[in-house]
Amino acid sequence: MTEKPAVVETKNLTKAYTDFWGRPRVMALCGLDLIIRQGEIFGLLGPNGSGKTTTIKLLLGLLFPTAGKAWILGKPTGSVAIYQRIGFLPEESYFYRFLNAEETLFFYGQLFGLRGKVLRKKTDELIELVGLKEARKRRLKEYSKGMARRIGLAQALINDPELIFLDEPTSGLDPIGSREMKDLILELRRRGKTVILSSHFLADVEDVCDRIAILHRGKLIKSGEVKDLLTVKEITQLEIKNLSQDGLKEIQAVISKVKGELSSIKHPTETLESLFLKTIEEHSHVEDTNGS
Amino acid sequence: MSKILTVAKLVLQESLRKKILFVLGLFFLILLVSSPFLDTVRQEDKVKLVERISFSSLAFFGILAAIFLPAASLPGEIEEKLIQAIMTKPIGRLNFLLGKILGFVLIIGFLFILMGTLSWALIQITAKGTELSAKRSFSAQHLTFIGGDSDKIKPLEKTVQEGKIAWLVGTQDIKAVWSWEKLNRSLTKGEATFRVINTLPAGGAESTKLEIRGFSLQKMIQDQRIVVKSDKPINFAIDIKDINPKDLAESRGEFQIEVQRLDKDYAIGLKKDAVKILASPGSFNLNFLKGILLLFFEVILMVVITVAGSTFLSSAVTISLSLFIYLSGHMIEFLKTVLRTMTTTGIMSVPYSQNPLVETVEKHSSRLMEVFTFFLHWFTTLFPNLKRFEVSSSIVAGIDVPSSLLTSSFIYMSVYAFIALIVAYLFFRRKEF
Repeated sequence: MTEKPAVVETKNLTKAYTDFWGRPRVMALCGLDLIIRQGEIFGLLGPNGSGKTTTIKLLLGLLFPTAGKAWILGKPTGSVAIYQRIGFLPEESYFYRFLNAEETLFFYGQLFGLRGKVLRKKTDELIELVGLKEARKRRLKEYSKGMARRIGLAQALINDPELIFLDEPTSGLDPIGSREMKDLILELRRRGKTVILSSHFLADVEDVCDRIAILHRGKLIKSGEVKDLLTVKEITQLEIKNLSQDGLKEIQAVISKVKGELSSIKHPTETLESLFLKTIEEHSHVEDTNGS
Repeated sequence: MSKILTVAKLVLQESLRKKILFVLGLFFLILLVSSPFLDTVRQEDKVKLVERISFSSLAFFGILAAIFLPAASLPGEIEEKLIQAIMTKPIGRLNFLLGKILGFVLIIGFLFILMGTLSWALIQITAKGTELSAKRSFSAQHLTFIGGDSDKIKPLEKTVQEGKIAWLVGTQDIKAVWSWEKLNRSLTKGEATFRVINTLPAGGAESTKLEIRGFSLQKMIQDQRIVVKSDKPINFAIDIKDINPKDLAESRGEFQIEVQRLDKDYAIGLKKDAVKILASPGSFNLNFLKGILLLFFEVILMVVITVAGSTFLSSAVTISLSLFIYLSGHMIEFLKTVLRTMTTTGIMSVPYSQNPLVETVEKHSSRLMEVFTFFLHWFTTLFPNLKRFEVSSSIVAGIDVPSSLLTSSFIYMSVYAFIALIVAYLFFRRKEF
């Protein structure tokens, strides 16, 4: 199988926040190397302050790296041309509260050069898609957090982007809204889009992501395919249909013969949450030991 | 370009929906409509008052909008992270700033059209029955000091440069002569306004006399003596309606006005532009429009300066900075005069110097003075002179605003706005959100 082209690539991407005099104050991201391929749903995980949002902002050109480089769709980050092909849902949906849903989408659409019928049609489609049909003429200052999140998603999709950044896409959404958001992300994958998302909601990440990277204190500490990371390798799971009691006994005999140990009939998979917490704890322990 | 317009449109929507303009417009209306009811005796004074109030309130509300609207906008968007969703769209940071500036300029332009029309209508209503006009003003081409016939002094001829203050001191034979060339436009209705910036008593006398004469083709057409008081500026008008247009045409529009002191113990300060000839009534309406346009140039400049400040400062600091620049910009002319007085006093009358002020200044000019002069020099050179955009006093006085001032002020504004835009872009280009 040939590898799909890289949509995002970072080399030694580093960001240090500096104080007024230019002295580094906080290392928000240290030497991140990452490749995200076309069509993937990529999750950035990490506790608060781990560098998830910093990574997204660096990729979007909202922040400038202290060291290292990053490319998006083959071009260095920050070039205006790439914005034509990407969509971004910010962490908190801050939009112009004096505009209504329709006007908001018109405004962002016009920034992409969309005009007239095309823009109108696109706006109608997206308002329908995010379920704001009833509220399309209401000003955003009257919107609930969940509704604001939906309009945020709609503006991120107005240009039919190839690459979509979703910063905490399910925050503020109720379980139904959250489910809809996840379905939508999966739908985007079906259409061949690449999605990069960051989230605290690990179950959501587990549901939709192909690959994840776990960040902690600005460092990448684990990355890989979700199903690989969640597989407990030292345990083998056999699924056998219609196995008789005798058959089971025979298998057990074989297992003991080959010095195996049957631990249980149902084999567990680790939840993402436990993996996440375990990894963070291990990393903290290692760093603390090194530090002291 | 269309994306710049998109951002400009958003600024318009914001200003309209937040009802900022509505509030400004309402205040303006109350102020303006109440002005004809203010108690004045003469009809002319009433018109002048309405004119003055119109221009002051236009300037006040225009500048208020030019500082407060932009100062709140960008810092607010950065603070509320609205900027993140915009900066990740294919618009470019410079275009975004240009769109903002255009939006504010359009909204204030709209406000100006509204307030300007209202003011104009009110002036017309108030002025019913009186004539509104704008006279053309002609500054002298030369101011020359000419030595008299006295045996004691050598003949003197010294030309005073533009903007300098020259002191007429020493023997009373010296005359200051303002001369015009190519004066031909209906001077028959003209008058000369005369302004001496100061008088310096050298002796103990409180007042002195000046003799003022007007010449056309070597022919004296006016001879007046006036009494001036020490340390008081002189405002004096000579009526020159007796000029024969034929004479004027024959002399190719040459005209002179000379001033001589009748008391040698007196010193008077003169400037080349101290004497002006006013003639040929022009259109008040055009003059009014010019005044508003000039004010609008000032507003554009203040918008760009405020947007520049708002790219790297908080709202409050941006407002303070803009107000500082605005107030400084209105003091530049005064400071330049101070500077000129400090650096040029006495130069014009060196051979006859008995001027006590000159000696005092020379004696005490120290290092500190030099530092102060240096600072003042750069301050007045670098800061925009905003007074040039406010010509309401000319309009109220019925003096025509020269079209050249409009052109030069537009260029002046463009240069400063361009510099401010570069500053804005330099800060905004690498700004992190």
